[in-house]
Amino acid sequence: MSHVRTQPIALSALGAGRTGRLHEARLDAQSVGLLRALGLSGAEEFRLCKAGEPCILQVGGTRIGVSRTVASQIFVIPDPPSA
Amino acid sequence: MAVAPVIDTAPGQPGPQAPVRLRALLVGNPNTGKTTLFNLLCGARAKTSNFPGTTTALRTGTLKRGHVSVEVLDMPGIYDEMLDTPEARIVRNAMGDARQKDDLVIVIVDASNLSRHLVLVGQLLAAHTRLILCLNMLDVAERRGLAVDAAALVERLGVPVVPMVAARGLGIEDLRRAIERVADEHGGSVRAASGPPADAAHEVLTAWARSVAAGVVRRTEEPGRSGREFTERLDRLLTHPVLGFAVFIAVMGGLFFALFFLAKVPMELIDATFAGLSALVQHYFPAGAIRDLLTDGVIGGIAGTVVFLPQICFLFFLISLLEDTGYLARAAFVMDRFLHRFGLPGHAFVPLLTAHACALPGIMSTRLIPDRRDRLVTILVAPFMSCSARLPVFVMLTSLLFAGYPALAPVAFAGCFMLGAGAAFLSAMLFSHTILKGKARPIILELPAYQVPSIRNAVLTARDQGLSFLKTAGTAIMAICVVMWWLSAYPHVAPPAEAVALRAQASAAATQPADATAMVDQASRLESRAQQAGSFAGWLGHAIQPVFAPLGYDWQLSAGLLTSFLAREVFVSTMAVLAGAGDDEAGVMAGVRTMRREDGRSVFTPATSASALVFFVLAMQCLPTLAVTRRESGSLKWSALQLGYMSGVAYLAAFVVYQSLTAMGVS
Repeated sequence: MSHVRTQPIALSALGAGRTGRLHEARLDAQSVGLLRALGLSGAEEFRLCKAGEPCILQVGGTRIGVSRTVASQIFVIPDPPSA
Repeated sequence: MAVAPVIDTAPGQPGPQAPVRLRALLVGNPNTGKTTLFNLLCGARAKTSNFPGTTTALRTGTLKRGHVSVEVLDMPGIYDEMLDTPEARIVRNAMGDARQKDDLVIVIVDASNLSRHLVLVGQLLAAHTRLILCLNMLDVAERRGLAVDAAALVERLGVPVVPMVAARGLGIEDLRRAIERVADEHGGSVRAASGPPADAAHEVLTAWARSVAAGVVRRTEEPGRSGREFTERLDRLLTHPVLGFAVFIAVMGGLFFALFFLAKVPMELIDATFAGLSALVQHYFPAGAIRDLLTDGVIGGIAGTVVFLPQICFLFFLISLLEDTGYLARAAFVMDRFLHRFGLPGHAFVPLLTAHACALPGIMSTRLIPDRRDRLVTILVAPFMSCSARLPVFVMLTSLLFAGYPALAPVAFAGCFMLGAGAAFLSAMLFSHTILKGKARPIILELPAYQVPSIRNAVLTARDQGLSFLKTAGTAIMAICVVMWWLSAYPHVAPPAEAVALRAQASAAATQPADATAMVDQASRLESRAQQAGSFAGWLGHAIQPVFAPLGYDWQLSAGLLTSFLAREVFVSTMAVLAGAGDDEAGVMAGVRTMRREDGRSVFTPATSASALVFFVLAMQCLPTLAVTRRESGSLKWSALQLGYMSGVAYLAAFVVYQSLTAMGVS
């Protein structure tokens, strides 16, 4: 499968079941640090388990819940949808 | 499952050896089984105290094994040593101290999520050589189709690695042996640990952790979809805006029902025990000040505190069980939507809910809230929630207010709870726009795996919190009870003529025994009333009455407010004493209803009762709560603010209610 790099979008705009990688988190330093410590980074693929409020991500063996407010400030590069 | 053979934890030298004392810090991410491991190592020998210079609780325990005695310190769970959070700061400071003293660091990691957990290990390895790695949750890793090569991990890290399933106690003996061995190697033969460079950037640490994990973790089979699907279905249900809220109400309703149901019998037993103790003192001590001090001051004070202990213990027991299941993290999201509008974080729901039982554990449980601003706002407003100590006051005042309409009393009762909650939320909003400016931190939480809760952990948590409650609140309540006893017992007032006459009549030979008993009881009540009126508490009631006159209160009601400053429930007993009422509820109500002011009007008019009810819903009136606020906030100024603010709001609201009702002709 060819890897097409798409434009960053807000996590809150991503559909459930999609995968992607972190592009940028426009949050306060403490929240950014916490997300990073939980494993959400540009190097690690995540899967969006649940969209909406709250937004639930799976990063490796970690499930992370974030409020919609947080999700709207996290920008991600989604992987192309699988066929 | 059986854990793999222990790596690098062979027993030390046999034979008698010199005693070795060692300090060990237990570190790890949240939700890795750190508390379970601590309880396994130290069990009932643990105690809770504060971290030096902070208000965060620290559990310490002792592990004794042969000639080795280890003081184990349970550090707060952290994801990253460098995060700017109170917990990370505590761990950083403790680690700095540990480096200087060459303490042992026991770091616990989740084997099913190794690459993330190794980031913290990397940070610790960079500065500590005396380190043991507990490779926990191997059963979870196995279920996820992962095998971890502990021997390869030892080779890679250069520190002892103990494979474990702490939830089932597997590997604990190996850990004890590993600790003993490290203790014996003090000052020498520990191998140099092989970690990332000191002060490595997070990206470097992450890359190192990923590389280590890739070398030791092997996928044995593709993970089954059923477990993941179960978790995702449950997550969708528990965080759903409507269904999730319904589940939340059901769970919390069940929790409080269980709490009151379970606590009822031990509370009655405690009550009976102290009543028996008081009777014993009455029997063996001669009448006088010492006996009164012991029965009314000391025993009464201790009983007033200890009676709440079952509620506190059961509450923390049940919350610990809920937390273990993984539900509380989901519930935080359900409540976040609502609480966020008032400047409160989703995490605040547990403290606010707990405060309905008692503000003390409610405020103590704000330690769950990661952000200091959010924590302070929650601490300040938690006492607005109607606690169980307010219930006797609500019962009395609603019964007085709706004497002719008993059906309305429960409505007013529910209204009291809603008024308290409304005041809490609006006050949180006010604080968020003024002295604690800012919005509640948007919620970011790790959602732990669902699991069966540990009864042992819950019991130990309940025990710790119970002891902490007794230590903090018990001393304050008892001291105040002694002071209040003194204020109401002195100076001694001569018995009124009517009481003297009644006693004389009761002693007369012609009087029937039943009539004599009733006369003596009536004489005692008259003497109590006279004593209250002439005591220092009575004088104070008269002195402060002008302050409460705009609220419609006479000196007796003012004295009741004053004595109940230490604990609200004292209001009912003070009113009963002032009314010269009997001990039973019906007697108290009958007596209070007939109380008269000096001008002959009823003390409890509808307007006064409504005003007093609103006052008690909103006022602080609980000195132990102020003591706990001071401890948890770390400053007396927050206690002072809480007292001033709540008293001000209560006074203002009670004033508006009384004046409005009076203006409408209800008096």
